[in-house]
Amino acid sequence: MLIRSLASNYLKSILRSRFGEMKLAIKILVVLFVWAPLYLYAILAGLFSGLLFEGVLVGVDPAVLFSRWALYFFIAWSALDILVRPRVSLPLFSYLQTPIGRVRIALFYQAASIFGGLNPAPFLFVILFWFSNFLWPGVPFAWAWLLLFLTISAGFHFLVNMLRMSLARRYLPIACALLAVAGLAAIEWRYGVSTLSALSMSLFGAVLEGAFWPLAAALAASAAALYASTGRVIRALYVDDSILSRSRAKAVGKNLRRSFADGTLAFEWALIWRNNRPRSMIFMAVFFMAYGILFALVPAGIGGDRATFDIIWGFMMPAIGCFMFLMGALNMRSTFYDGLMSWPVSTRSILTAIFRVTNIALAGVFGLLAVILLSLQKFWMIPFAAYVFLYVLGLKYVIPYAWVFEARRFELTGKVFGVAATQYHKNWWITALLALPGMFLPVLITLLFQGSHWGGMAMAAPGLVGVLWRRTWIAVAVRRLEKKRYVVMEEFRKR
Amino acid sequence: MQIILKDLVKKYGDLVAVDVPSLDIPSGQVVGLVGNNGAGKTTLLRLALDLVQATQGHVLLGGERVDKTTGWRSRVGSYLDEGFLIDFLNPEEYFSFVGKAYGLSLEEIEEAESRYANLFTEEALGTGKLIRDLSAGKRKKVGLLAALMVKPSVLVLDEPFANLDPTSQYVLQQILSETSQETNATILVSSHDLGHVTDACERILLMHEGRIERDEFISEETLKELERFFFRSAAV
Repeated sequence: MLIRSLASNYLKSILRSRFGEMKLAIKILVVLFVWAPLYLYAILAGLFSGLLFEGVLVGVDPAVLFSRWALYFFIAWSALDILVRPRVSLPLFSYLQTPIGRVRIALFYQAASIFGGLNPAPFLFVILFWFSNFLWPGVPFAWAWLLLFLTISAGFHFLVNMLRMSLARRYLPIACALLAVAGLAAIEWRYGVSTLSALSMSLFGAVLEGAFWPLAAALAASAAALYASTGRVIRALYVDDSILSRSRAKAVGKNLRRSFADGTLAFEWALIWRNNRPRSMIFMAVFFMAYGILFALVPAGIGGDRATFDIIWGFMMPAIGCFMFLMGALNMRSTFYDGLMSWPVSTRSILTAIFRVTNIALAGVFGLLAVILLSLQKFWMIPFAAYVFLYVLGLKYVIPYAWVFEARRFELTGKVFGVAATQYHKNWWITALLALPGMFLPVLITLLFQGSHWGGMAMAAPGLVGVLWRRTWIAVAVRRLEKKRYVVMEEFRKR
Repeated sequence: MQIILKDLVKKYGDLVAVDVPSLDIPSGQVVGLVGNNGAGKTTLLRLALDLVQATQGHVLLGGERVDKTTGWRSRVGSYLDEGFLIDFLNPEEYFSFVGKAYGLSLEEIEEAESRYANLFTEEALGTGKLIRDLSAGKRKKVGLLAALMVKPSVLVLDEPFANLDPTSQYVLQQILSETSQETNATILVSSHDLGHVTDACERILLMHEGRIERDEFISEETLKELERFFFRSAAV
């Protein structure tokens, strides 16, 4: 009953939403022209992968190759799953007032989440690959290999579900874990020190030799992951948990409740979309990111390496987009004043939410940068990226302090263009005095310590101070924002 | 079905939302829960339905701990807020969904719809309107009817009289009394409407800052005492 009812409700939710029929038509077209060809491609690629070993990877044993990189595959896929997989959107809260038990709903959620659009593709490839390279040629214990693969992938999936539930609150541990894995991969690639590949090889290699322990260990680990993950989903099904209650709020229609970070982004987007904030911000953020990365990397790619000064300056560019968001979020016609101030939460909570958004953005930008550096094998640049990351992470907490001194006011209902005459600036010089050293400190330090890690570390140090004393910085900014709010209200009153 | 609360505490950070050392509601009793906003009424009802986790203590419905078992679910009907409705269904589809979840046949669902037609009048059924397009009062009626339809041994309703027109308030009051008498159902109702609560219930629990300040059976004086209490609170 549960599955049929949820499936029926899912279909109705699409059809009865705005432009429902068009959405359904698009979904069908996407299945036909995106997913179906992708799955077909995965099946064919898996089935004929033997040709690759005959033509290109001559002499390479497919069993050894796959066994070696399986764990990396799971981790990479899990990272993609955490970041990209859309949220399972079901009216689960309506089911809590029925006799259907919480455990059943949680297990259903776990099962439904497996069928994300992307998930079947690699499994179709692997299963067909296994068939053509393991089962067909008669590799001993081929079934055990497949069973181990499926068990571990199930375990990772449950782990991903649990992490996604916790992502809204604790994204930094996940980012750190991913960076640690990227570090292990880099060590393996650069210095040939076997890390995860050795573990992967020992698990899958042993199972091909008839050992039973890898399967037992994987089953135990997956069962533990299922238990922990289901427990987390069950906790999320209590109405005072903020994770799944968003889909509950969706069912209420317009009374949409969001997490702070989600709400911040939604408000920003609404303001940009309505032209109450410059849309150029998006393009500029993308431009700065692309320009910075190209500035730092492209000459190195075509011969000779750039000086560290150029690299650090290039890496600073992507952070500008985050600072622009912060500046926008804290000005007088922003998510902060137009949207979030109407929420029954403290200024401190709102400010913390805004910082969380920028933390996610920075982690994303520098994560992408790390991937680019790894793929270009510019390993020596990674520490410099890390110095810049730490610096901007800390500077980010100090920057609002500079901005909040500036009392700026726009007409709340006006468009951003052509309203310069109505703007009201005060204390801009304090902002400039505080902001400029922040931007030019890295320039100064890298000029003084040309090419040295000491310079990078000296630059990272103030960032570390910013991060460690973030509560203090936030408290100061909150006090200033509270004062500023009354100044602005008084200005409105005078008019 | 008996409702027992034992050492029940719910905290949000430092805020104690509910603190009820013990409460026993015997089978077949109609109990009204009154109190100002933030007194902890809704949280108490949510705890009774295992919709929020207790910080301490537990709730027993018919001898079963609500946080550990699921058997009680099929004997409990409830309507707390419209967040639990599925707004993209029309009322008939919603009743069918709830009815099937409780194992009711199509005939039983239709019978319930006609039995409570006086609550609904003709306004929402058969129009094909989705729940989200109904007015707040009609949405409430959909939720109430779904809760009543399952012939519960325990009925839990949060603010059932709010948003209802005067006629429907009166009809609902009658339905609650009849349900209790005919099925011996235990009914727990929270409300700000002191008049309706004192008319419909035989026992009143007055909540204040998470605690049950008074636990009294209805007498001629009850309404006046309650009014005096809330008047004093307003004066403070």
